Amino acid sequence: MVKLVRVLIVDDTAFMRKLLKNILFSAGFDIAGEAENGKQAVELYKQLKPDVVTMDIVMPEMNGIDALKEIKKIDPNAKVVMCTAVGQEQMVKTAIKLGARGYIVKPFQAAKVVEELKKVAGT
Amino acid sequence: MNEFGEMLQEFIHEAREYLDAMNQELLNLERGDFDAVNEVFRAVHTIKGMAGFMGFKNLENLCHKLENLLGEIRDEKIEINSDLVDILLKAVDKIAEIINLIENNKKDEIDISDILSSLESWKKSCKENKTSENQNLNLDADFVVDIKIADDCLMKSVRAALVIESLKEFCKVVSVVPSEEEMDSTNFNGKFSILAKGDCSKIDEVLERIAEIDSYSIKPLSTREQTKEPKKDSNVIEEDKLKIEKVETREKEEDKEAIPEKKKSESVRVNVSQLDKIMNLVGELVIGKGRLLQIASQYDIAELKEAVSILDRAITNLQDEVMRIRMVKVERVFNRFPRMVRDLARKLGKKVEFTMEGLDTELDRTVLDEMTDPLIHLLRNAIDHGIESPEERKALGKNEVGKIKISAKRERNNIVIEIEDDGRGIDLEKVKKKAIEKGLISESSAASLSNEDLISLIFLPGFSTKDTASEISGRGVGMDVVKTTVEKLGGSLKVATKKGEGTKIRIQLPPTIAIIKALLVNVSNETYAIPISSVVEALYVDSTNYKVIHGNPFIIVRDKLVPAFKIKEIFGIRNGKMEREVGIVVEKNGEKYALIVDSISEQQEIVIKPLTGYLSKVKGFNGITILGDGRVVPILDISSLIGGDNF
Repeated sequence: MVKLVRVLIVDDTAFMRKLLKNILFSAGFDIAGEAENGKQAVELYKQLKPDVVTMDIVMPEMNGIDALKEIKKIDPNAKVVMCTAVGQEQMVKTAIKLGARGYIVKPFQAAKVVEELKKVAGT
Repeated sequence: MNEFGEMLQEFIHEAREYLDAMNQELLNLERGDFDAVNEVFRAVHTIKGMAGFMGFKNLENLCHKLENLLGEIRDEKIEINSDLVDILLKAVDKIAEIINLIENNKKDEIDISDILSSLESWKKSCKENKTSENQNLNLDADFVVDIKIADDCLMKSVRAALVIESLKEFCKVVSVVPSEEEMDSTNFNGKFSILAKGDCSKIDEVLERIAEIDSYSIKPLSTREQTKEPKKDSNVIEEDKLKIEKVETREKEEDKEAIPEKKKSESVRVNVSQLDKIMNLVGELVIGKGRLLQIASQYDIAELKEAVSILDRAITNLQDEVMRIRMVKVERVFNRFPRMVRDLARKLGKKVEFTMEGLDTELDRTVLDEMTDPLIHLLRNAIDHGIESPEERKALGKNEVGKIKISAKRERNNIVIEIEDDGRGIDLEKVKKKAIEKGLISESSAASLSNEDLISLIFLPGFSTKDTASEISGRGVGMDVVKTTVEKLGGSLKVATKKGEGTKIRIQLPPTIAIIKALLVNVSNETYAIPISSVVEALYVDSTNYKVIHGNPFIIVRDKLVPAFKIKEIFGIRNGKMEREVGIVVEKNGEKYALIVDSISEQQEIVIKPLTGYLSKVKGFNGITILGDGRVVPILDISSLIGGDNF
């Protein structure tokens, strides 16, 4: 039996979450859950143990970089993919140095997002 | 001085030959034929030598710099890519420009600083890359990973950082070329190398997990060092003196190579105008022969008759030989096409595989020269309008690389040139719409047009299917000029096209235009020649099929009205009206016209003698010919006669 890759989507805008959900769902991913800020993301990661996390960078309460750090503390092998936009190169690079496994660029192109997540998830 | 002039001519001719070769070889080089670099090197070297000898310092300098860069390529110190070939081609263009300047002004003073600096900077940037690599060789690294990130990847430097960080989990990254800072600051193209130490067995696994990597290769450094070994000294010791010495020794080697390979072809250069003169003199001989024949028969001298018939044979042979000398291989014009196609395809972002066939097919020099621009236009069209973009082709399930072929061959008494592409073909619906829009045809008549009729619309003056005229092609003056030129040369043109599959244009040309088949017609007691290539048919004209409508004369040909022109009236020849005349139906721009003459006397091959001096301004004539009996007969120029209103 093929086990679906479970994804935790972290973004402060409902629109982006919905967009990613649609892209991933139709590509055969399972949506483990959604978080709207870094803090919630860390909590949900502990609970859900998702295979991959898509992490927005700029969010209220706790930003994506800090959330990444926390998650890596919990699980050094956590697979986090950063959601970024042109102009945020340096921030993504920091995230990568902190252990992010990939990045996707807004505006999202479905094919690219799917390719990235598949690669990172290792399917 | 005279001797210098001759030397100069020789130099210019030879340099041009080398330039042609360079253009060709550079394209071969780009295609991966590494040996081509030697050919280019030799060509540049020879030009440099000649330039030095002739005292053209500027040219010598440019060649020298170019030679240096080529030397680096030859020694595999610089990688070959299209950008590099671009620069090399530009340098070749500059040399060509200088040669032109030398021909016109005997001077080579022209600004070459641009091209020199781009040659230099390319060399330097590659050097820097290499030296940093060399430094790395000294660093403690076990293997190097060359990585190419996908072209459509956004934030390539971030992707590179991801690769680097991921590798760090398994091995020690010693160095990255270009460095991460350089990736950020410059326009990073996605190609980079990582030098690392430690376990390289996991690299495949790691890179497998990263998206948007086009390709990568892992090389252990020990072998890498070995392959670089023999050249290492020249790489590391970069002192100027040593370098110069190196260059010089290379020059000597080059000289040794060059001498035995220099081809001495058994030929002399003759100016075309001289050939034309000889041709004309042959014509004079024919007239002289005619007169002798006349005298011989008038006084009935058998010996003279015999002598003249021997002379006749000799003259005919002479004529044939001169004709043959005028023939040149199409190669001479075709050779410049690969370069043009490459440059254009690159500019338009299209991928084109260009092939040429029948390069040794021979054609009259004049015909070939006249055809050069039309052929270039057709090739441009094929690239610009015909071949789709790589993405589009991919989406259509075609090979990304479009194919364009030009071929020349002899078919019976004609030369056939074909240009073929596997592009999108001509969109006939679009042609129809455009023609209606431009008012070339009416909507109602459009419906009844066959595909062939629709294709012929593109040859109408002022027609272009592209909405905006691009710089490359489609100024809307193209196709009709192509057709007019072909017809002027006495040839014909056919287009076959299939939507989505491509277009094939077939041009049929007479092998020579100095001799043509012509219809000799009589008007009153004058004789005129009409090139047979423009004649469609001939028919008798009398009161039943001759009509004057609104003051314009027409003749009826199979229930269709064809505008008629009376040669008598055009040339103001006074003669009583005849019972029955002859209408010669000719075609111009797809329209039929009739020339009305008294009678046709015969059809024969004639030698065209061009009108020169103030006579060349006379409209309505292509030239004149001299018949065997010595009569001088004007050759009618159909297109200017019909279109002409200046009579």
